[in-house]
Amino acid sequence: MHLARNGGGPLEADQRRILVVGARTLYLQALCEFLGTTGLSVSLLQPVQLRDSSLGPPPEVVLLDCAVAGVALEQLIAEIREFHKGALIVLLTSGSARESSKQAAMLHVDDWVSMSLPVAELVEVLDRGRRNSAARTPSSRRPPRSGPAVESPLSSLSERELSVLRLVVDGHSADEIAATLGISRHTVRTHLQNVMAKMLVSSRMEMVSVARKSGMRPAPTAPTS
Amino acid sequence: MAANTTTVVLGGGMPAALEVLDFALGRRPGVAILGWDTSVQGTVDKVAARSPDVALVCADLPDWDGIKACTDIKRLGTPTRVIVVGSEGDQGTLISAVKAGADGYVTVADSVDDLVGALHQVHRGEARVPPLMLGSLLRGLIELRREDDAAVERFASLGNREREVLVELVAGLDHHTIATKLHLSPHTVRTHTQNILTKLGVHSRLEAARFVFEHDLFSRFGIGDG
Repeated sequence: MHLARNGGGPLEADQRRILVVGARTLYLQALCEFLGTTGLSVSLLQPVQLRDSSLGPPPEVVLLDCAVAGVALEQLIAEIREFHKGALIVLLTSGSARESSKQAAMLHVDDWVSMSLPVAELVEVLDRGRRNSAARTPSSRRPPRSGPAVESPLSSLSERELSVLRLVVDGHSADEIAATLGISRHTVRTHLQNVMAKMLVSSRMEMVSVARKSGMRPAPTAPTS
Repeated sequence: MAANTTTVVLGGGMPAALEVLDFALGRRPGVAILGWDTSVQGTVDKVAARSPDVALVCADLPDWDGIKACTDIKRLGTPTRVIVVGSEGDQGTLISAVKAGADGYVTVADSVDDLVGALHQVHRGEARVPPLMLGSLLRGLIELRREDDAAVERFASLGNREREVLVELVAGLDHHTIATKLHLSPHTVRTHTQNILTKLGVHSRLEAARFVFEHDLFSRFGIGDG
């Protein structure tokens, strides 16, 4: 493990090197400090620095944060493959297991971990002996612990129904919602009928009123970014 | 607790992010973490129970409502100050945070030491906004204020009966139910509704509801449960 070495020599031969790439410095820096205490050698890099990172010992694992703005993940992954041949690419996501595994599969990366899981699971994935382990199929991952059960009138709605409802709360018409979500007007109506049935309300106004009381807020009207 | 230590409770939707922040902040001198929670209500409860100097709530992901957490913590009426963590350059969240009473705003692109600085700053009673976002924040707030004044003016032009009808409309009642409740004919309710929409400058009852909520008109005019 961590025996004192004379003269503080170079890295132990079996110490795993991990390169963390991403823009959410606040979380990633804290993550690196944490991982540093688990015996991993970790360094943090902004996505734009990737091109300059081919110096030094190559990492075994590159942990790539999905939340990058202004640059396509595909391009970053291509750069990682170019500059760090043979490194295992692990996607760091924020979402559910289902979304994460889908994203990982679409990007053809080796594995994924989500910040929605406890950090112990994240360490486990990074720390796994990699030489003899073929990349796991992300879809075989067990789903994350579900969050605390909150009995809200909104809890039984599907993600699609929630997004339709959110747009109604924002004051959009059925036509606008259809255009925004790329579905037909008729489908919007069906979604809303189902939402109203699930929420036990009899009008759209009542639906919006209940949604508001359950904590759904209209999107801010201020310009975004 | 030493006088120059800032105590903190963390709230956010990502357990791993909170755990590592807990670790990274906790090892820095002058900061003590009193706990963290992954639900909005749990965060508010922990703040109420432990009275930290600062509550740090994450609002950088759409599925965790850090603004609501901020609002609810401020409603406790305790001296705990609130820092909202948002995406870089996300003006909308910054304005929502300020409206919700936040004392500081930190972006996910800031470093852990930036955050530590912000924690001490708001603990001392200073406001903390990323300097690059300050200019557009002020412009945004002035613009909001203008819209708000116009909204209040429009609402004030409603008659008493129109206000009563609007309350029921926003609660989701249909014309017939409102007519029965207010002892009016459905026809009169329809006329009131038309006039309300015209006076508020909106095109539908749904838009009217949004208008009322957005500008917090009911509670400002002391109507209903707001």
